[in-house]
Amino acid sequence: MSLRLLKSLPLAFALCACGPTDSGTAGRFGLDVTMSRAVAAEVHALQVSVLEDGSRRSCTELQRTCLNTQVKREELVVLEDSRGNEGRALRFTVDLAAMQNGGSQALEVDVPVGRDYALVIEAIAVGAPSRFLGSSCNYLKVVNSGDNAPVVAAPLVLTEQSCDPSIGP
Amino acid sequence: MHRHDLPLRVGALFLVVGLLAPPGLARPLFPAPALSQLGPASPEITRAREQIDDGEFEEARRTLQAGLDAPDVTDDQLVELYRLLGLTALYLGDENQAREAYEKLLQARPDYELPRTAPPKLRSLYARIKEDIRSRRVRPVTLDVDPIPDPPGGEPIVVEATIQELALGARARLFYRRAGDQAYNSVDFVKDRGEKERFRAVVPAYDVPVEPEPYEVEYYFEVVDAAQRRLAGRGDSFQPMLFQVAPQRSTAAAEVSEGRPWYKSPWLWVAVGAVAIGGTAGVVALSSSEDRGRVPITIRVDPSQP
Repeated sequence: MSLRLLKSLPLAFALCACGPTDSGTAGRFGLDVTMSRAVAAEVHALQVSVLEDGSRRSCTELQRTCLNTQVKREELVVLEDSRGNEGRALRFTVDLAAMQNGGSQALEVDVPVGRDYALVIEAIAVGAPSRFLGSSCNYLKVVNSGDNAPVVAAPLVLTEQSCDPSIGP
Repeated sequence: MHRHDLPLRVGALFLVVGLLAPPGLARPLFPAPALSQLGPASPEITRAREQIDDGEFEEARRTLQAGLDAPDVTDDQLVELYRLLGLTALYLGDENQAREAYEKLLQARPDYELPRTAPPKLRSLYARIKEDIRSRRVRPVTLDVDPIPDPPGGEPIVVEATIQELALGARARLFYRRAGDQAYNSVDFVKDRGEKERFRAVVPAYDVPVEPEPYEVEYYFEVVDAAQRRLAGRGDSFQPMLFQVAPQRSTAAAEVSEGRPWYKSPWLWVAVGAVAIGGTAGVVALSSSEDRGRVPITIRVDPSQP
């Protein structure tokens, strides 16, 4: 083995170690969101959106009112749920009976692999138009298909506002 | 005269001389201390006492003023210095200075009483001053101090403050604790030697070590009197202020950048290497990975949240 080849071995090992692992289909981190009883009493659906340039957003501000009044539609990345539905915001009907009995509800959102996102979950009350009850905004430093660090999510508390949080697909 | 009568006669002579001697010559076996010779000692206090006993009141006043200006004077020494200054001023007929000295003495020791041996004139003045102090409001203490900027860590933190009307016996302190800890540590504000109302507190370096991750320290300022009543402050134990100690990496980088040219910094070349490897690895990873990552979200109701 020549000396030059020997010198390049560490780099080769480093590059090999950086490849994707066999992760299957699901990402490795979860977002565990708690909801206050006041929100749970009225919530009908949850709307999930992901914003680009998360680090330049203020989650405190974003949680004050409907997301669609604060950002442009183009700033939202296209998401996909487990059934293959795509959209810039995904809605999930809440299984209130399960949650009020101490259970939990699992949602799955496929996000484009990338960095520096802000993930916003908005609680929506049924009505025409629908009402904003509150939201949980969380910074996602990176989303990839390998292992990810767990994220501590902001709790969803009642911040009722007279705005319609609906975001078109 | 018989020779054996001699000791008897000498003894009688001493007895007669002793009885006939004027009262001024009679001295007790253990003489009571002079009025000035009470309380704690320091070189100035000792010298001033001697000067007062010798009747050198102007010199005593200068000595006492020098003693008051000296650094690191204890509360007990201050009390004694003011007591002697009041006494000296009274001997000199300066009632204003005597009043000022005794007011300060009373601020520190509200229950202080003059010894019974004190001259009636002194006792009378002292009683009047005590009555005056009782009937008027105490001047408020003011504390002027800026919040502590985020420090680099691993170095002492020096905090300067301006404190006005700080009474004798009162203490100004800086309380601090690492965020999440139960108890506060404290350091005293010490008078600056140069300026009268400038004070300085120093948080030791070992209480703000450099760590790999940044961390927060909660703190507040407080001035309390001898009975631990709060006279002034900024923040309190329930609503403290915060500063963040910078992490190790940034501190090390700052030191390196000060000490050597940028292109010789090992961090630069580590960073260049990391970017090169990371970039290549990123390209490899992204090109071979899926387009999307799945984010599972679990929603629960928190029964403790109303």
